[in-house]
Amino acid sequence: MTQAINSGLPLIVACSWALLLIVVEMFSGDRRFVGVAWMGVIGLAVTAAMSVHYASVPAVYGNALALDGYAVYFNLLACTLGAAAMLLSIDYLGDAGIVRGEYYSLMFFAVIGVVIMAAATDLIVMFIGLETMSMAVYVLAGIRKSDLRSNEAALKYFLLGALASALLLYGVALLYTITGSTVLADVSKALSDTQHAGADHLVLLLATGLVLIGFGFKIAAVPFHLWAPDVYEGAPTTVTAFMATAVKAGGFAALMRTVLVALAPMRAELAPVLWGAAAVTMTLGNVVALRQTSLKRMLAYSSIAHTGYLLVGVTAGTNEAGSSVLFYLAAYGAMNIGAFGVMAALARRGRGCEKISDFSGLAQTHPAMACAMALFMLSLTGIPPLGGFVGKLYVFTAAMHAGLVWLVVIAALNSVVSAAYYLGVVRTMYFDNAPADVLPPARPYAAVVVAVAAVVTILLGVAPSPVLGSAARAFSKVLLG
Amino acid sequence: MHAAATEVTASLPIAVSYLRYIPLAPLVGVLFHVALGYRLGRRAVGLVACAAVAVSFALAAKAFLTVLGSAAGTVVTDNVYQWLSSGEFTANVTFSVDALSSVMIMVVTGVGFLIHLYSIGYMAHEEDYARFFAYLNLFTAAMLVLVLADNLPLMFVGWEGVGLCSYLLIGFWYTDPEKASAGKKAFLVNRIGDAGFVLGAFTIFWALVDLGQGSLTFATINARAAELPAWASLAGALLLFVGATGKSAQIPLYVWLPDAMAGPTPVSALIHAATMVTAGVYMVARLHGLFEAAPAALQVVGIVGAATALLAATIGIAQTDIKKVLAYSTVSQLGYMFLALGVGAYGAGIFHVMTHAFFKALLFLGAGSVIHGLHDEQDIRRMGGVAQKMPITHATFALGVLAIAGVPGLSGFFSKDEILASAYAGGHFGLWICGVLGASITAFYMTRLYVLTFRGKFRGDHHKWDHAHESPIQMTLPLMVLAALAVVGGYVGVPEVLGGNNAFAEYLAPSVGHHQLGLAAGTELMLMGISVAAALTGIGLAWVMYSKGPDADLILKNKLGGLYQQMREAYNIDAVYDALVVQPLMRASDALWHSVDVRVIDGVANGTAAAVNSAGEGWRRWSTGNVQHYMLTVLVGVAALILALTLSSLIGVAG
Repeated sequence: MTQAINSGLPLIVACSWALLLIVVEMFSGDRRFVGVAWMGVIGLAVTAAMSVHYASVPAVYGNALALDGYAVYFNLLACTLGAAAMLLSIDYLGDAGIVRGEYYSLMFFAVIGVVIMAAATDLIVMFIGLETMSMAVYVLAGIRKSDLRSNEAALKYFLLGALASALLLYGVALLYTITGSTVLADVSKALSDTQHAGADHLVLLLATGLVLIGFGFKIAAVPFHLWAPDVYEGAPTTVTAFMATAVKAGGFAALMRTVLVALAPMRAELAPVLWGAAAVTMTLGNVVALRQTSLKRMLAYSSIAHTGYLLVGVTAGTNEAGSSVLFYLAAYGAMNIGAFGVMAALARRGRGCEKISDFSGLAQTHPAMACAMALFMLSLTGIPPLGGFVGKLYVFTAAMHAGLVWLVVIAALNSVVSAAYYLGVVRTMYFDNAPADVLPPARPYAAVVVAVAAVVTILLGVAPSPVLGSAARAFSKVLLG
Repeated sequence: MHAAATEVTASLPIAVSYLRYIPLAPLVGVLFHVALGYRLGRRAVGLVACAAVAVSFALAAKAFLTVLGSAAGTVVTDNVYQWLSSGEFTANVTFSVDALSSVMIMVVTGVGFLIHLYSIGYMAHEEDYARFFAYLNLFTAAMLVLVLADNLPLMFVGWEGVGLCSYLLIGFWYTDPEKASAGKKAFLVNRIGDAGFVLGAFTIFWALVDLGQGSLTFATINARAAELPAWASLAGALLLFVGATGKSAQIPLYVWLPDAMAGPTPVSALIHAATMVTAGVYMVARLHGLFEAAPAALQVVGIVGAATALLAATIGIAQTDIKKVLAYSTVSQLGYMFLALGVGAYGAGIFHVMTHAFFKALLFLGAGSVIHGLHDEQDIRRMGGVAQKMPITHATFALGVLAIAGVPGLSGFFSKDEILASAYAGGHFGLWICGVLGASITAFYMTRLYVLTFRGKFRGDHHKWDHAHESPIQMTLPLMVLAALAVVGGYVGVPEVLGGNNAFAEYLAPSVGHHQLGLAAGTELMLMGISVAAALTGIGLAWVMYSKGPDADLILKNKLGGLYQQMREAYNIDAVYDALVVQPLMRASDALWHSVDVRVIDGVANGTAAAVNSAGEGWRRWSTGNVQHYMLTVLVGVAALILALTLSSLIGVAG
């Protein structure tokens, strides 16, 4: 009993904190907005610290929730990314005219959703986490009430998201009719114990497909990626930063547990589908990114491409591959928070700083920001010795080990193509001349976040061992058997 | 038929902790330029940049002398820390200096230092002085990591680093969009090679894991290569060679190097002649054990090298830009190095890396001096008689031309002759003939270049002539040092038939084995005579033809017809790439973007909808189809997925 309470304690505290945040926001004027942001950051720090402190391996609450290494890893990742997004927001929101109180508490709830998704060992609980995260993000995406693009993006995201959630829930229900359980381990056991033939088998396939789609939507895998470019572009930059990193991490946390634990007996059927999804997702993302002129849209397609790389790891499905996906998500988080952070640091009302050409000659006017941005672009390309390189190296090595030779070849060729558009940003910043109306100086909070992201990106490349080690430990007990 | 190579001696390690400072010193220089460069001014930047490389040179010399003074097979190693470690995959940041890498670090730091010194004068009028030297120092650091690495992943760090610096330096004069795009091209073509490098490394790694030794250190790869399954060593070697063709500008990936001449001339000398482009040669020599285990791959290396040597030489005949001539000659000379590797004469290949670094850096810096003195004139048709105005540049350049042409007694003669003799001795007559032919053409176009630039009367704008001047001492001093090296550099490898003892090959033997020619003295002398005759024919012909001025090109044009035009346009390989790769990719991108991913939001933003109630607008669009379009796609996706799952399960059942 004590253990149950202890394992749940971080979540209980986090939820209470988020509720408290709403109350505080209600009573604080525009001027105390900074305080609210900091309160959110502190709350996330407390949540992260508590989850480390109360980490325990066995599942609790009737096998619904496990604060195991895997959950703690994603908890730390989501809290860090959430805190970074909050700090980025401080100046950005005021300038963009978003002085809406619920912003930070919504972001807090979204983080809680991610944490639940990672800790869930039951499909229903996982679904609750997914919805907690999604609802909060739908509102965040459309928080600029007067902005047409923001609104339409949010609406589209919501409608498609609702469809995906419905499909997922239907899939879970079908799985329940076949296996009689929604607990991941029990589903797995039921599936491997009995041979399902005929109609049962078809229902099982339908259920598997529907569940995959639900998560595929959240991680923006092709063909369920259509929302991503529009929503990334329409949402406020700070929210985009959060979606590209924390929301994607949440999607992968849930997807991996579901596919690699509950649906492990379906491996033979799933592997070719995942293989195809990975190949198509990275190729489409990279090829379409080539022709984008909006940096946000380009990063949206880049994030689709990275979903493809991450799916390579999921397809491999080994211990090694799983931990490499965990590491990749951390590196990917650092470089994307950084890239969006640079945009948020320089954007001003009426001057979105969202086109690639807005960064012309940035190296002359803002050498530090340009240097950081170049670093993130190079890391996204996979240039050593940066975090993105080590991430790719491990995912591809693991996939190669699992025998996915051709998928790795496709991924390597994709990396070549991706260099073209990431380099385009570097070229614009370094080789084009700055326009007459120079961009304003970088905002201090955002600049600090960018600097930290840059340092982390370098460290994950130069000295990745600690994070690699914790990723390996975090994943070591996830797979059954 | 193959001449016997003696066994590679087992390595005797000496652990030290100073090797790390060899790449670190220029890196500190970079930080200095970035942080303080703009505040402390030009003098400090130039001084620090050169001092940093001088420190590297001193430490490199220390390591070199240690290896030279110790028993054969000594390897100086510096284990810094464990970089990557997870499961079976580990890689350390370990630097090591053996005979092979000691030659490379001496060339990189030595020639690098001279070019840094030269740049102080050459870039004196440049606004972004600190940025230039930051890139130059960063390049040096990356190149040193590349040659000092004791394993493939760490080598890849330097490999990518030099590519990146090359990109930044080609585009250094960013006001010119053509130059920026040349830089991008260089980077992308190199990335294709890099994909080959990575896939090759993966292949070898997993094959080694199957042997129970998951490691990517060069020592392990070379030692266990013979035990690898044949497909693994062949695929691994070929993929790595793809990487080498990218970095070292060989067929089919050589197209970027001539464009790279858009960068400042010292950069062309350092990166695109003396150091970075030889990385591919170094890598193959470093992994000689692997390539020996895959004779077919080695054969490919030799054929590609010989073909590149010949093809690029023919292009060199028809170029009119002084730097383009030198660029194609670099591609051609790199071809000779791969030819050497391909016939198993690794020592000869590395020997040519070294002598080429001397004379090609000299030629580029000399060309830079001419360009500098003639106020940015690069077209040799508008030069002539420059010898009168620039005596030092002229004299040193002439020595460089004689060296590359293979005139007996100069460095290029010894190294090129060893390569050709090895090809002949190995029974590779085809490669040998390509090499001799290429040598003759090389002598021809280099003499053409020299005569048109320095001899006769000036054919350009007389204002340029009036202001023409010899370059300052910072620029002429490196020229003189390099000229001396281009003359005497070959004497470390005088073959036995000429009374020498081939000390260079002897020194390298512990790293790459000693390739014994096994030829009779008479045969060897005859071969030497043939290549000397070929060179002298080329020189003489060009001298006679071009003494009358650049119109002699017309003679060739009439003789060769359409082929000449092809040579001038470098056989239009660029157009082929554009049509086969670039355009299809761009078309695919456009097609996918416009059909699958409709830009709904932009349509709204560009329309007149700004004043409309936004939520209502959203709903309107929902009903007019865009979201429906998306949902339809999702449902099609659902159907496709279910179908795919069913199919794969059916196949699973059937199988």
